[in-house]
Amino acid sequence: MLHEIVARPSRRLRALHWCNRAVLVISTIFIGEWGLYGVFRCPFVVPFVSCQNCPVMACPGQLSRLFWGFWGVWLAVAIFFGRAFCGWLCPGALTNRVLALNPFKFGPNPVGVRNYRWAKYLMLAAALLAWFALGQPRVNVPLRVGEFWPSVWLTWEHAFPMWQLRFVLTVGILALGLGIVMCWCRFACPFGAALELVRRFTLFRFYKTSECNDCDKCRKVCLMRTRPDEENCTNCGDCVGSCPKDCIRFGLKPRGKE
Amino acid sequence: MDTKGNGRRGFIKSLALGAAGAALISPQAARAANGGTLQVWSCGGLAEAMCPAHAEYTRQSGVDIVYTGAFAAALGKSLLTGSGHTEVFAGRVLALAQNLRKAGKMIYFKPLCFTSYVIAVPKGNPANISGIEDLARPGVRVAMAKEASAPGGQAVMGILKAADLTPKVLANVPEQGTCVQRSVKDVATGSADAMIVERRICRMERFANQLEAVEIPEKFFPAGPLTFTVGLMADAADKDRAVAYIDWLTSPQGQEFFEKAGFYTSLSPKGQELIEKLGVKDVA
Ligand code: SF4
Ligand code: SF4
Ligand code: SF4
Repeated sequence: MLHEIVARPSRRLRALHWCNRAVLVISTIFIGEWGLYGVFRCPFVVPFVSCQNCPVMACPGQLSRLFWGFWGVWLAVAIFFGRAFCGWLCPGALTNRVLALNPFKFGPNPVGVRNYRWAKYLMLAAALLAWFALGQPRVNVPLRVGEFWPSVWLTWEHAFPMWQLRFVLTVGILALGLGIVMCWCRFACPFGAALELVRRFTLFRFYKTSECNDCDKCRKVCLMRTRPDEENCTNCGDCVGSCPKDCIRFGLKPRGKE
Repeated sequence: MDTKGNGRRGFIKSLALGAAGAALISPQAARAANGGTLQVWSCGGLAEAMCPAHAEYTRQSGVDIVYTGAFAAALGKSLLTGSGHTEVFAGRVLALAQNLRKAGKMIYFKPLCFTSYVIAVPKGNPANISGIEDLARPGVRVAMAKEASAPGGQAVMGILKAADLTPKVLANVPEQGTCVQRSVKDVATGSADAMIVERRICRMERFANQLEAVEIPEKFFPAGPLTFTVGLMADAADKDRAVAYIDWLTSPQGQEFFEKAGFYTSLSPKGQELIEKLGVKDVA
């Protein structure tokens, strides 16, 4: 069915786009608070992955304790649908999309920005190092319970330098998203980088058929500044309908075709 | 076709939907403070007792408690240096309460409860630990978090020193941890045989079914920090409201929550004895 929607731009195509935003918003309502805790309150170097023994009892991440398979499901989605978590479920994506609404943002990429494609892998390597080699140290005083925003100041005030560095990097790069669209997601997110590695082997995806003439119209629509089935494609479906050759499809990519 | 424009319109629409949804689920919106609000800060170690106690207090009095529980030394520093403000403060370490009194930030304090130490062992006690000497037995795998923030590491070292077992027990620790809860999880899962922890840790919901507690004689307990106090802060907007809360928390009804969470309450005979022994008196 998706295949049909994709092939014929129509009301159903608009519904697909609308559906994408709605799913992002709903998902953000459910896991957005956890995301906020990860950035502003999580006392570990790598947020979200040490919830099993985290002292912050106010964090919604504590629920992931009851649901051991959280990261398993995350990975399964990646194996089947690549970076669809980024395109459809991640509150970070919604945040970046909101920042991208800024009318003063750069249209295309500013010169040289694409050269930083490796940066997210560096972030992933740093995260893995902190997690496995350094034993995921706790770099902040645990604020176990507290109203969210008032607690953020206390958290900052008592943080160790490594926590403050993480915070400044995250918020700083996120803020760059006001000018360089989806800056965090494209260049810095370690979770996105991990998904990007899996994306190459994923089963279902948006892809271009052999009719593609490299006009790059889809790239102009895409907030990730990419094209279907290329680096950073999150399977969001925004580009569907932008192709003058109507060659963007979804599904198992037929072998041998490009 | 202008997919971009459509996408954006759709996006803004759904954003508005999301904002409306978020406003609905925001705790602030749900808050109905007919008895007013009271800000309470406490040492994070008390959180397991404080949270249910506050729910009950709010039910009875209609006063909404805005509660923050965190590492007491950090909260205390914020209160002492003036960047933090709260109406009631329940801290660990007697000296902290005394310093707040001296600085004029706290009006008075009362003893609240005392922590105590036990040996946490996996359910069924497979290594047959019956006392602190057993931690020195060859082959026993002891979990420890020496570097954990106080009292996690420091107090345990104090206990070992008092029992004159330090080198022997340390030889049984395969790996030093940095966080009490992470290390005690090794005991809960059975990958370690025992760990000295505060009794409250064994009572935590997440460990209660997996751990048993073996007593440690009190003579080995470190001198501090065992004490928790609760005090009225000079910043309290409505002193009567704050005093009523403190009175309730130190009444038999309030103290029950601390007993359940694994503390000696200040009203118990043990608590009374410790008040005398440790000199938990409010002197300005
Ligand atoms: S539960 Fe703890 S470790 Fe997990 S995200 Fe929240 S603060 Fe971080
Ligand atoms: S790159 Fe990271 S922040 Fe962005 S959508 Fe993916 S997981 Fe979320
Ligand atoms: S190429 Fe298309 S499907 Fe992929 S991220 Fe960009 S707009 Fe979304």
